[in-house]
Amino acid sequence: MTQSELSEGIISVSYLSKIENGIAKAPEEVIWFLCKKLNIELHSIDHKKIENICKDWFMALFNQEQESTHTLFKEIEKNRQSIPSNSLLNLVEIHTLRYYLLHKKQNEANEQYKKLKRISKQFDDKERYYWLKFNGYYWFRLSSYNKALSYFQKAERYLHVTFYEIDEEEYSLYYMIALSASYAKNARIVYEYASKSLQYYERKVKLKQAADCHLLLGITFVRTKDFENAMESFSLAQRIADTIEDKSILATSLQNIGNLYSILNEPKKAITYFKQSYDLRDNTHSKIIPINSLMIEYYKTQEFQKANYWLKTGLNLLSEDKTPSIYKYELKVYNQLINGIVEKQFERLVLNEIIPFLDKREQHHEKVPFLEVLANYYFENRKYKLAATYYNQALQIKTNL
Amino acid sequence: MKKILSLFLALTIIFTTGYSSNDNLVLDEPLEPFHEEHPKGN
Repeated sequence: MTQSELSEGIISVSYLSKIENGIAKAPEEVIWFLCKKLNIELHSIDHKKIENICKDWFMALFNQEQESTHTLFKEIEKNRQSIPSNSLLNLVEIHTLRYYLLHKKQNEANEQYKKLKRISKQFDDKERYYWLKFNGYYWFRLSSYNKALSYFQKAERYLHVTFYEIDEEEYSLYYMIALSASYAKNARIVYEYASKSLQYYERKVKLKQAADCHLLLGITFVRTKDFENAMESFSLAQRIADTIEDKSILATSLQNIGNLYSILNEPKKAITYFKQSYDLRDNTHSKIIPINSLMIEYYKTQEFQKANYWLKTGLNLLSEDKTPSIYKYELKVYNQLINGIVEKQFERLVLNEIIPFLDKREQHHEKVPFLEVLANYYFENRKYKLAATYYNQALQIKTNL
Repeated sequence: MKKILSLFLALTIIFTTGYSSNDNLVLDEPLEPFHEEHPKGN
């Protein structure tokens, strides 16, 4: 059909040209008449358009693109009624949970989670995959790593139905399985899944992701006391971070090397690495990790003034932050160790605050050092019965693990 | 008798956990689990 045939009786040929070239914007009734002449159903255009927006949004969420996920979400909200099928609508609802988690909107995520849970029985396989995967992210965000791990593993059974590039989806899920297994202290699963992901990312020359896998493997080697391989993994991550100039991965690599030297009882080297890691960080929140490490390292070497300096730095940094965190508790414990213990306060801090905090998050392994600190204190003060009680509790956790 | 048993239990645990007494209350190990740092999620 020529331009003049199409425009006849509707608009001028020159106006049609301008519309085609994007110079003029056509009013809705003009589009309606043009579509009628071309035998195109207007709805099908809207449907196709919204379908593509949804797919772009899913992809942007997968790639964690903060800005475009936000813009596309607004667009979808406006056109929600045009979403052509129930299945796409369900996928949008499920991805909305991921969107809230990515943008750290926890209250909205909680509401969306409840909503999805009510309708989850009717999900087909594809919907179920994303529901299970995002369930994993939801619990991961709440630091319930065992739960997160179990949902990521359930999602693995539905990997065949995803519609992004299948490899990308598969290995991103494997990485999340390895990461949550690492938090859940399951060395076997970390090793299996981080190794699989690493091979894939190396093959695809995705260096950032490969460095993340090296870090996970390094942490697992440290825990299984394979220090040589641990150092090699951290050094590889460090080298990649240097190459791609990724400050965040570099800071994490240096922190882990520092931690390894600390375990190997080489405090001077540990301190050097912790300081380098500290200097690289712009984000105030992430600074707390090397700060606490430096405080403890100086405490171990009995340089109490320096330990106190890092203690104060940490307390200042977290003074505005009202949410409880393990780092804050650690500072409180060392505040007493460095500046003198007030017995009742110390006992209350460990038993009534820290232990329930860790119990709630199923971080049982992390209770051990705090119970031992308390037991050491009682032992030093010749309260052997209390010391025995808490050594025993720590020992039981170690044995169970 | 009870006190002796408690002391015995304390000492047994101390020896089995490898804890050694230190006047300055310096810990054998740092509170290590939080000082490893994980990479970010994807």
